[in-house]
Amino acid sequence: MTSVPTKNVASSAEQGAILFRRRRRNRILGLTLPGSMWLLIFFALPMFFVLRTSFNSFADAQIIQDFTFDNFKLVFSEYLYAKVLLKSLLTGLVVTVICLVLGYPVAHFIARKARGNREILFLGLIIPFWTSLVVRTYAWKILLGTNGVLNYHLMDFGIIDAPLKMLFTTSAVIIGLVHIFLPFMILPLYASIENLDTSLEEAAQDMGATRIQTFMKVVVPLTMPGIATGCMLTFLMTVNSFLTPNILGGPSDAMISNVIQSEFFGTFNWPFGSALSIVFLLFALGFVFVYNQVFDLDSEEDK
Amino acid sequence: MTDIDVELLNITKSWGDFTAVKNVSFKVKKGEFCSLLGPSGCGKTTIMRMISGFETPTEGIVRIAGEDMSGKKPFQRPTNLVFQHHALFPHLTVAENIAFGLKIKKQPREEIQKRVNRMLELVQLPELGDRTIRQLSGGQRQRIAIARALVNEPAVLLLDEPLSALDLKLREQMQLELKRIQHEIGTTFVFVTHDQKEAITMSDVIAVINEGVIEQMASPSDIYERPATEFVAGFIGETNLFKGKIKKGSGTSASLMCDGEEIHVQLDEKLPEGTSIGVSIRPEKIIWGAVADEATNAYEATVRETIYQGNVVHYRVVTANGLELGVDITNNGGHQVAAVGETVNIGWPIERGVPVMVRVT
Ligand SMILES: Nc1ncnc2c1ncn2[C@@H]1O[C@H](COP(=O)(O)OP(=O)(O)OP(=O)(O)O)[C@@H](O)[C@H]1O
Ligand SMILES: [Mg+2]
Repeated sequence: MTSVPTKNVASSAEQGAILFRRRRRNRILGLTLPGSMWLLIFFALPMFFVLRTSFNSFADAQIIQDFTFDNFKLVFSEYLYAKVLLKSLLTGLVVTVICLVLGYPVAHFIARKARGNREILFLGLIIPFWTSLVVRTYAWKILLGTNGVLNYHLMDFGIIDAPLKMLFTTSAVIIGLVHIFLPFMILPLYASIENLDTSLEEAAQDMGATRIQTFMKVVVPLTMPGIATGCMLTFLMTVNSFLTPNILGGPSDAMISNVIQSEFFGTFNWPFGSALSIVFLLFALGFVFVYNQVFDLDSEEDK
Repeated sequence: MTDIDVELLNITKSWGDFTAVKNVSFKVKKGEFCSLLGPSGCGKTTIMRMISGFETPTEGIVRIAGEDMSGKKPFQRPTNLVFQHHALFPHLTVAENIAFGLKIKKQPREEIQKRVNRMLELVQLPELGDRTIRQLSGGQRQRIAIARALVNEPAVLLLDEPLSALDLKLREQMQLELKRIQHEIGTTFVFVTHDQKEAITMSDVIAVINEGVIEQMASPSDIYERPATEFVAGFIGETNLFKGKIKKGSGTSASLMCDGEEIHVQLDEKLPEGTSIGVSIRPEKIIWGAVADEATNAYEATVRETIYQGNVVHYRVVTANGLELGVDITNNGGHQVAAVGETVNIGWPIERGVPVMVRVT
């Protein structure tokens, strides 16, 4: 007999808990609604149209409502597109490695050595973002052009006789991309190094490790999350870049985005452009997925 | 070979206008357990960092095992440091942490394995080699940090408040553990602490530091029984400190006036009349009751406060002229606890009061 009222009490408490949970869930839903709507309207819907269009066909400069895999077949059968994809990935890799090598010492310096002027150095990192990407990229055009600043001075000093061809080369594209994406490498690296307890580095040295050994065996492994994040950001943004290869590169420097753009607005072949976009998106997703698995980015950080 | 493992010669360390360590000199013998004791910010860590090579002295010389360490980097010194917050590497296992220094020195693999296991046994955690640092308790982490330092067989092990993050119970246990380890391996230990009790129970020799200056360096019993300065007397244990100027003296026995009472004291050496001096008398060294009358310093006093603490009874009493003292009486069954307002006789033989140097302001 006594067990009956106890059970009632328990169940009413349970009901309370359920009610509470439901209310909480409603509130969370309410809070995420604007963001979700935004994503739905400006991301999911366009994505859906791109996906739909990629199955249409294109003839006589007309899009025909259709359902065909021809566009995808073309993406994989035409050697040119694989080449562009490969070129984009390679550029991404080169730019990422250069940014890592240039960025790590800077991040380390800001985090460890710069006591009083850390703010100024940060400002230096951020200020370029106040200028449009287009302007910054055109600046390189002025610097590297055949009649540009660099060639002028090199000839002025008599180092070279004829202007060097620097603009519209792969090197120009890489220089421009490194310049633009370096801060995206430095910031996560900085956060990671700043988080690293200095006494860990000192402990390594105390046990006989030189500066380089300390760096390789302690600093690098423990700042891996920053390295991984910085590399991923830089790599993805480089591979996606459109403007820099367009302005600083020659015809053979076109990257994925440039090809997609020319399909959409050059030949107006939207179905094929869409198919290219979809394939590339899947590539990027696959990359992020594998990368996350390897570097375990989503897991809780050790401490 | 010398039998001095650590020697500091006129070490000074300044940052800009601020001087953290002022003209410090001391020696630690081989195999000794030396504590640096002092309040927060007195320069203990700075001294340790100069011994281990992380800071360069502004002036002075550090010698380790007889060798001048000037210009030597931390990784070139025969010292190892146990950090305040263990500083174990979170990306390595316990065994890998201990093996770190040996791997750097390219020891053969079997040798590393053997020494790591020996260290794990020394700190009594033989099962934990494969754990990560996160899977250890606070006390276990400190033990592994000690093992990681000792495996390198340093001439001197430096420990910067290694126990301060632990709770009292674990701390006391680790104090015994550290003593045992030091006894077993015989390495010279320099141990930083701001806990006077910890320093007294563990050390062979204690250097009491205040504002970057060594106030006194002596054995724990000397530090407690014969404090040299006002600061040492006050920092280690409880004491009554009476300050005044030397009034008159015949040989080394002198007296001074403090709060209207005359206090007799036995000096170590004769001092001129008018010298400022302090007399320290520990509360538990004061005699209570009628027998006190026969002591050199004898006073009639009124009980102002009685604090019953179980094993001891702590009194605050004040003499007729207004001299206030703390007195601890062991509650040994023979003692009749006095109530507030009662008049009692107190006193102490002249040799129990210790003359101490005072800061003249
Ligand atoms: N790099 C530095 N630059 C300037 N001042 C410093 C530096 N390191 C320490 N100090 C100062 O030197 C003084 C002594 O510091 P130290 O760390 O040696 O104290 P401590 O005795 O170890 O104190 P605690 O018990 O709190 O650890 C402090 O006043 C501190 O502010
Ligand atoms: Mg300290």
